[in-house]
Amino acid sequence: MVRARRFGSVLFFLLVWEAASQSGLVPEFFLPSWSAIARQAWVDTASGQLPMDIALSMFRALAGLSMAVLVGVPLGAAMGRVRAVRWFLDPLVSIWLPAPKVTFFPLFVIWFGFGSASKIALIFVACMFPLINMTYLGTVNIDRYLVWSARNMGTGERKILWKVVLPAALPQVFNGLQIAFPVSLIVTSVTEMLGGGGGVGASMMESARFALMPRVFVYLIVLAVVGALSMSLMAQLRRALLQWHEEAQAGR
Amino acid sequence: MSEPRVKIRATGVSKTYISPSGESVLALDGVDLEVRENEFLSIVGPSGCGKSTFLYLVAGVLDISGGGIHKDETPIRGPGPDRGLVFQHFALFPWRTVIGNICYGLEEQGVSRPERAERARELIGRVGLKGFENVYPNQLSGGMKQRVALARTLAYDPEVLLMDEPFGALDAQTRLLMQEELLDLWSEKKKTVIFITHDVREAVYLSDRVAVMTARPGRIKKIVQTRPPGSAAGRDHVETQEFVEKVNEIWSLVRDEVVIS
Amino acid sequence: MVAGAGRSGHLLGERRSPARALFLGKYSPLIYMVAAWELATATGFIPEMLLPRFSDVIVAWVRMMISGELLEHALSSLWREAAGFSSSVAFGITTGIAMARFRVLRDLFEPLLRLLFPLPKSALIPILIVWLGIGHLSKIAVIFLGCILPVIVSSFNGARGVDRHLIWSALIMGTGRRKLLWRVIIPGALPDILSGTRLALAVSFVLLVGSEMLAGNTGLGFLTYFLSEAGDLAGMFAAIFTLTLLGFLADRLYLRVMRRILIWQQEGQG
Repeated sequence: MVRARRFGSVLFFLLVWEAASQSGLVPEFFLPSWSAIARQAWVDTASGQLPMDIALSMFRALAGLSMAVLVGVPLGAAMGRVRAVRWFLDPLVSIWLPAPKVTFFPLFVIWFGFGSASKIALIFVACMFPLINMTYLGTVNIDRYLVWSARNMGTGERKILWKVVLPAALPQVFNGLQIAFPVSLIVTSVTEMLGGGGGVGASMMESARFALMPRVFVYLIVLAVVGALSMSLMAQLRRALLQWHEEAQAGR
Repeated sequence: MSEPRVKIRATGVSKTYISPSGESVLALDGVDLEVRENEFLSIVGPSGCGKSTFLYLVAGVLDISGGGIHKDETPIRGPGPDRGLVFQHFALFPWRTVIGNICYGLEEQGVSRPERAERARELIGRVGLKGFENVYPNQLSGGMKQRVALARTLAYDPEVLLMDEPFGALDAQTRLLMQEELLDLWSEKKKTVIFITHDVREAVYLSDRVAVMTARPGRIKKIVQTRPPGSAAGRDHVETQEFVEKVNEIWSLVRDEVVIS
Repeated sequence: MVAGAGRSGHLLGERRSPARALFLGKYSPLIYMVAAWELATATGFIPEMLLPRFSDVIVAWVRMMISGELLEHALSSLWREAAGFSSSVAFGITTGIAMARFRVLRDLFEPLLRLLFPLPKSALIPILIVWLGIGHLSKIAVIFLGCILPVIVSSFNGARGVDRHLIWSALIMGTGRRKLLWRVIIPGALPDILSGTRLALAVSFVLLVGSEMLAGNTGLGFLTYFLSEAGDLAGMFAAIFTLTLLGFLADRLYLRVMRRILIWQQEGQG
C-alpha cells in the first residue's frame, strides 16, 4: 500500500514533466520531453557513442580509484603505525582533505596533456585523501588488545600487519572506499567536462554548449544510473566482506 | 487496619505489536494487576516476557491493544508527569547539563527560574552529586547518570514512579549502592513504585510485593508478599532466613518461565 | 578514562623550544616540502615550464593582491559559495526535519531522494549553465542543488534517530507534541546534521571550482583556468593556493563552530 503511494509520487512527477514539455508549456530548450530523451538515448546507443563514452569514463574512474587504493591504503596504514610517517603526512592530509582538488586540473593538463592521463591523475589524487584518512583512522583506533594478544602468541611484526591490523581496520578502510567511489565519479565527470577527450562528461558538456538538451539529459540519467549501481555494488560488497563486523556490531 | 487504596489497576491488559519482519506479536495476554498506593511492587520474569512493555503501557507512552489500565480509577490516556519513568540507559538529554536535565520537568510546569534552581540544587545534594551541576552527562559514570535520572524524575514529584531495570547497566557494586539509596529515598517520601528487574534478589530486597510474569505472551503468574504489610523497609533483613526463602520461592517460579522462553 | 585527555601535544616530545617547533613541529613537514620545491626549481632540476619557483609564486601572489585582482575574484567566489551553501543548508535542514516529522512529506520525497542521491552532483553543472548562464546564479544554483541532498539526508536520519526514550521522557514531563520538535528532536539531531553538513561543505567547493572553470568570467576557479591558458604558471599557482586556503579555512571554521555547539559530546572522566 505504501509502496504504491511512493511510486505514485514519482510517476506523477514524471507525468507532469512529460505533459509540461509536450504541451509546450515549458520550452523544449528548458526541459525536453521524456519521449525526446528516450529517442535520443536510442540513437546514441545505436551509434555506439553512449556505450563508448560510458566505457571510457568508467575506465578512467576505476583506474584512478584503484591507484588511489593501492597507494592510499598502505600510506594510511603506515601513518597509523609509524610515527614518523604520521608526522610527515599529517599536515598534508589535514590541509588537502577538505580542499577542492579539482583546482589542480589546469596544472595537470599542463603536465599530462589533454588526454586521459591528466584526468586519471586528478582522480587518483582526489580519491587518495579520503582513503588515506579513513585507513589511518581505522588503523589507529584498533583495539590494542588484539595486537597485544597476537604479539603474545608470537606473531612477528609484519604478520601482525596482515593478520590483525588490516582486517581490524577493514571497516574503516571500506568506509573510505565508499566515500572515494562517488568522488571518483564526480572528478571524472568534471575533468571530462573541462578537458574534453571523450567520456560522459565531455559529451554532456559539448551537448550543453550546443543546447542539445535531450542528449544532456540522457547523459544525466546515465550518470545517475552509474552512481546508483556503484552504490548498491558497494553495499553488497560491504555486506559480503564485513559480515563478521556487522554481526559483531549488532550483537553489542 | 484499613484496606489500602489501589493506585494502579490493570485489568485484562493485552498488547500486540508488529515486529520489523512484519509479523504480529502478542507481547502481553491478559495482565491483571493491582498496585496499591505507596507500595513498592516489583515485576520479575524472563527476558522478553513483556515486563517493560507493561510498564510503558502504564506510563502511557504505548497504547493498549485490549483491556484497561486505571490510575485512581480513571483510565490512563497518555503520558504525563503524574507517572514518572526511569530507564535502564538513563535517557538523559545529552545536550543539557546535570542541572539542566533536572530542571526540565520544572520548566514544563512553569516553575520560576529561581525556584527551579533551588529545587534542583536540593535534589542534587540529595542524590549526592553536589559539584556536578554544570557537567554534561557524557562526562559522568553510569551510577552518576542514574542518579541524575532519578533526581530529574523526583523533581517534578510524580505520584507513581515507574522504573525499568534502572540498575541493569551498572556494575555490581554501584548497583548495590543504588539499591540502598533508592530504599532510603523511598522510605523518606513514600510513593507508589513499579519496579522491573531481572534480579530476583534485588526485587525481594526492595519490594513489598513481587509479581512474577510468565514467558511471552506475558501474564501475571503469581504475586508473592515479600515484606509483611505495614512493616518498614530495612536494609538489615537481607540475610535472614525469610529473605532467602522468598528469593528461592520467586526464583523457582521465574526459572520455570525462563526454561520455557 | 584519563582526565583531561585530548590535548595533542607534539608527537616527538613535549618540550616546546622554538627550534623544536620549527624543525619537528606539526606543520614543519610543509616547510621542508617548500624548501625542497624551491631547491628543485631553482637548480633547474624541475624545469620552469612544469613548475614555477616557489618564490615566484609568492611574488605573483603579492602582485595580484596589490592589484586587487585576487581579491576581486576571491570575493566573487566567496559570495557564490556563501549564498549557495547557506541557502542549501537552510533548505536542507528544514526539509529533512519536516520529512521526519510528517509522514506525508516523507512518502512524497523519499523515492525522489533515493533516485537523486547517487547522482554525481557535478552532472548538474552543464544543465544549470544552459539554464542560467555564466553569471553568479548558475554557480549558486549548482552549489544549492548539489548540497541539499546530503544535508536533507543527514537531517532526516538525525531526526529519525533520536532515542525514543528521550522523546518519551519529554512527553512524560509534559512537553507537548508540538514543542517536542524544538526541545528534543532538533538538539538530538544536531550531531548528524552537523556532520552531514560538513561533508556538503567540501562538496560545495568542488562544485564551485568546477562550475567556475567551465563557464564564467570571474572567480578563483575561472582565474586558475585563465592563467593556465595564458601561460602564467606562477599566477595560476597563486590562485590555486588561495582556493586551497579558502577551502581549508572554511572547514576549520566549520569544525570550530561544530565543536562549540556539540560541546556536550566530549567525554571526560568516567
